[in-house]
Amino acid sequence: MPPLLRFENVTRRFGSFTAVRELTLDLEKGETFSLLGPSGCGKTTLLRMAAGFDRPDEGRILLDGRDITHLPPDQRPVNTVFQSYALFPHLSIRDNIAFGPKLKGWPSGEVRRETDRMLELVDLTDHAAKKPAQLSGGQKQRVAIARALVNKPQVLLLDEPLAALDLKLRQRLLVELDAIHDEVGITFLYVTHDQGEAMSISDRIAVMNQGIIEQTGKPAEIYEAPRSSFVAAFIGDTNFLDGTVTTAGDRFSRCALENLGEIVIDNDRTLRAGERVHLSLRPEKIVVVRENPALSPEENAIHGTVEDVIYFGSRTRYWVRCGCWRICAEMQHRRYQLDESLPQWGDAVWLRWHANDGYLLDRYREEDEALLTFPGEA
Amino acid sequence: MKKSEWGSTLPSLAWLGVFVLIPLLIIFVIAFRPTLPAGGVGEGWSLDAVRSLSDPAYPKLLGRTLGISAVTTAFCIGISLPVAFCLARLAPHWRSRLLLLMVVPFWTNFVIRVFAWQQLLHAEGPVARSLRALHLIGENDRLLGNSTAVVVVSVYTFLPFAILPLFAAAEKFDFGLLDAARDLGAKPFRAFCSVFLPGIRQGILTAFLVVFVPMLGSYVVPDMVGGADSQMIGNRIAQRNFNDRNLPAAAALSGALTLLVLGPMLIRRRKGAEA
Amino acid sequence: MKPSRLPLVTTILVLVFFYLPIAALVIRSFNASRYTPAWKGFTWKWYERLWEREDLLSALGNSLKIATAASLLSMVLGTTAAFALHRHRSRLQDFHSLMVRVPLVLPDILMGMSLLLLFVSAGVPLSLITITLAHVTFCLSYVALVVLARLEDFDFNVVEAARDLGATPLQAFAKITLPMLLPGILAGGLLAFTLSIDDYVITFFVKGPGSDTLPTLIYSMIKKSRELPVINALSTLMLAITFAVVFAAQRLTRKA
Repeated sequence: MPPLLRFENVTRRFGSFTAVRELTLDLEKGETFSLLGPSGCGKTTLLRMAAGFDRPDEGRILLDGRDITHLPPDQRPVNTVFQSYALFPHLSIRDNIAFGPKLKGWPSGEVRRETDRMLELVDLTDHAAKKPAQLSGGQKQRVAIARALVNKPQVLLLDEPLAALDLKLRQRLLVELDAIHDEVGITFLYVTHDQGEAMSISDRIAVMNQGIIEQTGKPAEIYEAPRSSFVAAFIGDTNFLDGTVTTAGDRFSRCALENLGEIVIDNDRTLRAGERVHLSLRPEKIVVVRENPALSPEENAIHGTVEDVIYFGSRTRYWVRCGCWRICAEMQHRRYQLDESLPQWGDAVWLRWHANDGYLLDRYREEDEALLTFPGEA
Repeated sequence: MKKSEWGSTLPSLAWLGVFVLIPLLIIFVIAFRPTLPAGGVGEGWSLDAVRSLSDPAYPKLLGRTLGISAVTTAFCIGISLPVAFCLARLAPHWRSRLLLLMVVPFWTNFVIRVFAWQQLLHAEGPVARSLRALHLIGENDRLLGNSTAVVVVSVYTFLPFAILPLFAAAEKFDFGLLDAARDLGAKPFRAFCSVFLPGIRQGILTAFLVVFVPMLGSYVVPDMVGGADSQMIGNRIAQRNFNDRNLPAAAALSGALTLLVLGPMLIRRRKGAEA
Repeated sequence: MKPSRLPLVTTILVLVFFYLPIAALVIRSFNASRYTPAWKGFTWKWYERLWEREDLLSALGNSLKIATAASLLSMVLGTTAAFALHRHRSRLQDFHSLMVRVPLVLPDILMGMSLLLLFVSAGVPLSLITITLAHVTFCLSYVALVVLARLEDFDFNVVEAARDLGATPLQAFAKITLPMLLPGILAGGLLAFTLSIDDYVITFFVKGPGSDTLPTLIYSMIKKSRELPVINALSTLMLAITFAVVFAAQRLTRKA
């Protein structure tokens, strides 16, 4: 089956700044696809080109096989949910939703029926006669969604739709948005800088940075198997380790960390001895123990001293000094662990992890370390 | 240049060109025309009107115009500062009511407002009688017909124009800064001067311009409540025009006044470019 | 620490200052004394006299005609000017902006004088038309600034939203932009109307013989010291109408 929406070698420049660079991307019919990235990465530009508010300098945009690159926004079968809601303040909620159908010249009975159906879908039937200013932020956002969906677009474009809401409301609307998606079955293109939103709502995610796509994949792939230092650092937190391969193997290789001896790594690509490699190791994959553990051949343990402890409630974060490395580890507390005292500042501990939990990066850039909430020391 | 830009710019720009720019330039042309005996502008060129500017009475007239304008502006800003401060600190509910209350008197006709003062300051009016009863003025002192009356009534007519920009600036001011200054040891008045005033300096500049510049061309107020020794340039322009029927002389004076107001207006332009 | 009471006291004194002459004027309009402000008993006769003066009525008619025409025309010109100033950044707009702001600070007497010289040079006879042209000129600037302020708060995403929902550029303007800006344009128009009604100086310079507006007529009555109590009655009546309009507008906007 051909993709529903296709960006083909799309480039968009603003003066000397290239917002989107030779980007190719396919959206399948019915999926929720997220563009995730920091502000200025080009994700909103991409969305605006899909909506027709902006046009690429090079490349094409295809919808269901048809070239829509130069079609004005009012002639595209796609609709947008704006970050600022962009509700028409002088129209009632009902008239906001009926705006599109009326313009398209639907018979008045159908306009009414579809508008009612949408009001019900977003649970705002009681507020139909109100003006946007009388609604709360969450309600406004639901009107914006209904106003777009009523037109039965082939793709619904959502531009940071929850960014203006507070955390609890954001989480609730996310669930509702997911339910709406299941009910209407329309393809969603969801733009966000919030990894949590992207993770929980998406079938697939494209992580964007500086106008290109760093990685595309299912949420779990993106988190567990980041291909680049940017993806690893932007989504969640991680430790970057780098070393030199000493023994290259088919499945597992050995690699020497500076000042710290050898560790086992899982290599999903062929390595050569002497090659320099970069590794991402997420804090929650590391177990902090007091005793030197007995290890299987695929496990690692390194010795260090606790330098800092931060208690978060659901988990505790440890910074452990291991030679010239400062490694972050996170653990949850379980009932049985309360019997023994948790590691304290200055305690000698072992950090233990399985080779599968470290992930070999294809691309590493030093500046991505700055994205971490706990940049390591050089 | 885009077509849409010209489409939306041309109507207003053309209008302002014809009715503001060209008339201002014409002032300087007419100033060099001869006067017809019957009143009116003759053909050819003449320096008579410009020479009439060397009238020995004019330096005094100019000084008085600048003086009255400056004093009025100082009073307007001095009074508006605490008022703007007070308005900005009030609860929004009270603020909008008070603001309305301040603006409403100025929807009365300007001429009528000045007329009201004329009556209020009349020798038989309530103010004069009270002051006389308190022996603050003598039996023959007049409240009308002097520069003080011109300043008082000018302050009255221009005060809202000073309050509004200062209030607009004060409303945007972060009053937490005053607390910070107090916390760091500043006395209230010191905090007001060294934190509040710099914080609203754009508003002060606007207030200065919208009071001082129009004041320089003041005409109605000195005409109605002033006397012979409180006439300003505006009165002389009107007199040259309506009484002497000498348009070139009126134009020459107007040209001089235009050059006078151009200075402060250009300051604003430079300041605007910086911001 | 107690906050300083100086600002509040000043504000109250300023309000007294603002209303004092007006209060005196209202009281005098009921005073039977013809020449001096001394109280000589209550009377309605100045109000009765008001009806006998047909020149006042015709001057009022002139004022209303001019104000209506001037505010309508300046609403159109001021709104297009505001759009240009908001939408584009260029040398042209810098100049445009300067030109729009000049009438706001230019002393009235210079504007009146320069327009008089323009009309005299161009051989245009002074009439109600020349007064209207002059009024449009300064009203335009006020409308432009009021609408510009609204445009600065205007969320242009709603225009994109309309386009997204299937509106052509023209439909988006007619159904969204214009209705949303209308309160601002009307506010500008109302300001223009009051400024036009209020103007004396400029009108005095560009009015022809016999084409008096209310302010110029009142002024000449004052200068000739004729029927001053009638002016008080007229002023009180206008004041009452102003208050009624303000009050009604307040009630209306609160409901909306």
